[in-house]
Amino acid sequence: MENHNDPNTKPAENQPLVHHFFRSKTFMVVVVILAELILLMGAFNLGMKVAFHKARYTYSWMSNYPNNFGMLPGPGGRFMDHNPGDHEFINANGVFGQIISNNGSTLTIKGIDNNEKTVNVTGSTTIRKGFTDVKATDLKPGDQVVVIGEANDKGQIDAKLIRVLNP
Amino acid sequence: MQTAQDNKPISLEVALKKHLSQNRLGQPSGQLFGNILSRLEIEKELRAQKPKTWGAAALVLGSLVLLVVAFNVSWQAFGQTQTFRYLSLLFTDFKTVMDNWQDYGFSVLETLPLGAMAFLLGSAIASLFLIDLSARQIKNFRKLSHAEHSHSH
Repeated sequence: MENHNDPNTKPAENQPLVHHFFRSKTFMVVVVILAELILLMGAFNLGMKVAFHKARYTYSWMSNYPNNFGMLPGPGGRFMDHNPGDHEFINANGVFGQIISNNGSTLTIKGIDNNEKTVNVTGSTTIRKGFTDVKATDLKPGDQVVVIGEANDKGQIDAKLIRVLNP
Repeated sequence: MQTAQDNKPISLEVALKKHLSQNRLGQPSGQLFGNILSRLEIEKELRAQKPKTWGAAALVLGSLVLLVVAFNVSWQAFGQTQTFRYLSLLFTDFKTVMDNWQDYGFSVLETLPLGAMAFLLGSAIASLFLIDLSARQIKNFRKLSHAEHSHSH
């Protein structure tokens, strides 16, 4: 006689069905689709963050251009003639290019996209040339550098690492 | 007057029997008839597979050309954005990079030529898919050719 009060009876009956579902092709397809959606959302979120960083920096770079460089961007100082990077936002967390000027604590670097950036050298900035650490005053106009840093509200980059590349 | 039955495709067996009787060639023995039939089936299948195999080979060749183009485009894009300069910091200044991994991550992401990378990845995936498809097609074709040869001898 069947015992309906036995708690083991119901799960034992359902187990094969559940097992069958978890091993089915449909379940695998659902899992793959969900994983792809998660990846897509992650990539989208990351893209949004990067774009937000770049947009915010570009805005402050343009707003503070007269303060940082003493004139308006573009030929003859005409602001509207020069959009940074030809309709693209400027990279906010780094620059690769040539040093134009160095006053000991602030570098002006012309990037490969022809945009000048002001890079602040702080106490926590590491400056490396070859295998040795060097001081900010050792950097000369014409040196090729790669800078990693954080954009500030003044349209400048607070450098964390400046790597001088061998010519 | 043609009926619907007349338009129905007739089987190879019926067509062969009809052909033999029309040309007064007589009926071959059961085994010979079977052999002729299977040989005809293989030949029919081979003829159907031939354009597919050539098509698959052409598609693979096309996708490989596309892959080379995509690789060149990506290489140029990486060169223009100088992503390699940032990536090389991993080898020269690993500790500082790790200490500032968020800023480093953003600086690399900002320079990545995403359009070119998507083009390269898309071409690579398409090439792999087509190579797999054509490999199966060629294998199938060779199997049929082998069967045809063994029937001939």
